[in-house]
Amino acid sequence: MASTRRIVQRSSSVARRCGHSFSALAISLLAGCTHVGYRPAQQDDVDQFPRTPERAGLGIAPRAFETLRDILDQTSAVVEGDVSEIAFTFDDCAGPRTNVKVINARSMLGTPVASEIVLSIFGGPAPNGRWFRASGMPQFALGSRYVFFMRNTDWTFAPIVGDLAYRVETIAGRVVLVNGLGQAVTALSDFGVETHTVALTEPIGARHRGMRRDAAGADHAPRDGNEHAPTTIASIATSDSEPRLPRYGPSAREILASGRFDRPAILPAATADAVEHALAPAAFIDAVRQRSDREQVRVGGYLALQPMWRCWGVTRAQGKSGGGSQ
Amino acid sequence: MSTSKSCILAVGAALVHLAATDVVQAAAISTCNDTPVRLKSYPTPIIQDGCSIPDGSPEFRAYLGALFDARNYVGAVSFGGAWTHTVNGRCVIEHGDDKSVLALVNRSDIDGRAGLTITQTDGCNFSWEDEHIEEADVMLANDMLFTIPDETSFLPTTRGTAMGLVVAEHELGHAMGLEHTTGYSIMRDGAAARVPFVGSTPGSGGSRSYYVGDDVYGLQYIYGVAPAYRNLFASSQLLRNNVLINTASDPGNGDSPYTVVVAKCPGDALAFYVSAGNTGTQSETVQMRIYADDPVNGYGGAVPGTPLQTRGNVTIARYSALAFPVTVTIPASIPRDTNLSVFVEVDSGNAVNERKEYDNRARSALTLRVGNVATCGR
Repeated sequence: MASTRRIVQRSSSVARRCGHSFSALAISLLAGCTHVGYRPAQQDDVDQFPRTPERAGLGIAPRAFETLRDILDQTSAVVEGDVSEIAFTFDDCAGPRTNVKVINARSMLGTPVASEIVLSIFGGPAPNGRWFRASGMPQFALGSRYVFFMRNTDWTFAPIVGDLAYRVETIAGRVVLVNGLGQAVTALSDFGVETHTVALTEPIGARHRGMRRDAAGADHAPRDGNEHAPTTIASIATSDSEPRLPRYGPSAREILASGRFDRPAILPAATADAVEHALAPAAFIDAVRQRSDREQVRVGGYLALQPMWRCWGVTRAQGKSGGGSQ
Repeated sequence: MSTSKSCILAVGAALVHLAATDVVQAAAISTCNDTPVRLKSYPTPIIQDGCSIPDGSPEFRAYLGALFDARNYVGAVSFGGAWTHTVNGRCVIEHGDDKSVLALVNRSDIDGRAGLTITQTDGCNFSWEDEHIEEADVMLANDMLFTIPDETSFLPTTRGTAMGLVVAEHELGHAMGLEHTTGYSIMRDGAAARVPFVGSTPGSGGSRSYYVGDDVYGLQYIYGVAPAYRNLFASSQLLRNNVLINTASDPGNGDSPYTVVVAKCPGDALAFYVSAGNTGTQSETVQMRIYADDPVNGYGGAVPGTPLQTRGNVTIARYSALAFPVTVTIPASIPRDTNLSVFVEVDSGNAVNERKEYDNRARSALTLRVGNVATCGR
């Protein structure tokens, strides 16, 4: 498997064309780091595909996670922690990354984790000013507490199993866990984690804003109806009093202004009735532990914080009959 | 939740709530400075990866089917032809090359997902800017089947099941700017494969994997066009208390699914759900017919099967889904000692001139067997 991966892993064309000494996004734009577009040639040179992840993982392939057993079987730890900072990075192999810094982290189940970890989620700006994202990624809001399932396999896009990251919210006096769409966790079933409520909050970052002041100096402060005090988020995101995540592209203040990682407002539908069957975090962890015992699947093992399955820039096309080789 | 007939933009996402007879719509999209994130130029050609999607294969039909279905509603995407990109004899798709490709890949290469779409946009940098999708690479796990699914029941997994067609539609939705929703929708979120199917008469060319009203509304909202279109469909799934269930569920028993052949006698009552929808641009008032018939042959014929109930003047709002419980009485005229499926037919009076007439009948997973006179006494 390793040799197969090596053949197809490569640096991204974006990085090749623009270099990867991460100048500011504006410089990339102004310098005309243009996107060249595809070449008609169907055969590429071997030396254009030199990259493998610099740090090799164990080579454990990610698998489907469509049953609770599959999920538990691929979970190294169920972790709880606070999202304190978000920054972007880019490198040839990992590609554009949204780095989510989690503080006060502790493993509720499975492999212990450090008190401070960084979750590297695919997506963000490339050096040429383009933005990339992948569908179905877990979403995180600044200044929020989360419970999330970390993988015990290698991975390319996110260290989380699917999008199993749940924000701790207090709704109608009850502490509940909500998914990226704002639905509360209600149960564990054979299919996985069930979220059978209406949307109690908005999704995270679905309505984002330009992150820079325009010529008129428009105010991009967080706005409209977010009941969570923006100053709290700002102090978390822009404080200079602690070591910062390495970053390039937008500044912390610009990221904050974009609203992409704002903690979403609670919707009027979030009533006591709506969360009647929602699980509290402790009850959820207990349920996971019980199901783990019942399924005889041990949550634990390998925990990779870096993408080490393959590099992002190309993906091998592989047909059903093994088609994919010429 | 509002059932207002006006559209409401919820803060944080363009959650569009439309009037529905009993189902609220919630198509979800992303916006940059209050403008939907959409494909930059359209139609954007979606290229068929020639290696993993051979011409004439079921996967090829999935590619064509998803594009055709999207093009029913918006001109956002077009057929990009086949393209093969090889490196060292291996076929690859490249991200960030300004070419939008649909390909099959190993599930492990998309972190175990059934499908994953990488989009490249021009960013949302300034307060006066829109954000545009410049490239969308759609990757589908190659361990799915791309055959036409049985519409009677949602599938519990995508692995090794006929979920390829519907996953292709879902991921193409992402490529066009649709986000996950919590509604009755192809874009419905969930790790498990719980999305609705649409009925299609066998042999009609229908794939049973189509955008439903919520998806169509989202697409038309993003692209700002809604050409006149009339189409109703029948389904065997519905959303009940935020959970997708099959119509073969007992409303009087906590929606517990019917899992065995239900034995009945004439005069007995039988309760289940019916489900239908409207992907068109106007509200429709039609007749719905519920009938029992042979599981295979029940789709065909002008007036097939044994009528169980007919409802006139059922209104299905545009872009919406409609589902409700019914209780029928088994008629004495029903065939005995044979397994029958329960079907629902929407627009059974054929009052609407629809784009797709072949999606009006759906077979429920409910199998009924009515005893003979000796058994039932009547």
